Amino acid sequence: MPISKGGSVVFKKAEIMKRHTFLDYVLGGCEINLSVAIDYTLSNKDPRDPKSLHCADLSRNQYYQALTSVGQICIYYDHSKRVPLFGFGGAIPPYLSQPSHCFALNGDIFNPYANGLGDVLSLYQRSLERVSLYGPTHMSEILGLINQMAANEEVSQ
Amino acid sequence: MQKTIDEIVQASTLPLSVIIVGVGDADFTGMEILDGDEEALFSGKLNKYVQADIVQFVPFNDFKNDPHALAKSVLEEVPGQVCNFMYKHGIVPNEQGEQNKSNVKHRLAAGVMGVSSDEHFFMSKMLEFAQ
Repeated sequence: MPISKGGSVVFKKAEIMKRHTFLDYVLGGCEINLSVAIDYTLSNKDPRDPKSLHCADLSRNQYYQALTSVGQICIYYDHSKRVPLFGFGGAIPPYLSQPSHCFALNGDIFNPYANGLGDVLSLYQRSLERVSLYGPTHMSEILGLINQMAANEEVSQ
Repeated sequence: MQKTIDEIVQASTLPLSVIIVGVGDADFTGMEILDGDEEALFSGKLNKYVQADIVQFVPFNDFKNDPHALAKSVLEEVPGQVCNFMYKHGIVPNEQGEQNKSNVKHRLAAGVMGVSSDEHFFMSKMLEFAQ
């Protein structure tokens, strides 16, 4: 059987494009905003219960641990360190018999920012005295709000 | 659940990443679904599939005694999500000199849990995880 001579492929245009890394963007000054939303549904158990994930004794409080360690990781990339801090699934004063699916931990939905992780943690701690755990878990409202915030952000390097 | 999926599908064209941290040892099947690593999320309301994988689910208990593994898991998808978003929108990073890069690093490390801008071991690791 004759061996075919083989064909050839002609490239009409070749371009080399650099695929940039996340680090290139971060060190180039790209600013990332961290937002935090906490689940205040009663399935976490009442803060007075030692088994509560929201336990008033912070050394047992798993949300506190998670906020501290995950917060530390994420806030690193946030230039402003100003973190909008929300809750969902809890009842807030004065309406303690119905849940809110989107509230600001500092009580000011128009300016829901915590300044740095220390402030996030102390606002969380204070919230345990005021917010009644409720339910059910609805995340769509809080996501909707954060979507709007993201849609209003200018995107550039 | 479907309303949450609608919002995530809506968010998937925005400069937004969602990290869901599962606290405790509840049944997180719902969160795994939102993560979407098994099956792409579909919104009937918007009549479209999720445009990018923007959700990362992290079961905190699996990592709570290992800060490095936790950081890796938390940051597993965000860097790729940022790069993909920027690529889609044709945005390239600023070229920076070494001095500026070092300034950015110091600025980022400042104010994290009150650590000073001195290089904190863990903080300096953060950038490596995100490579």
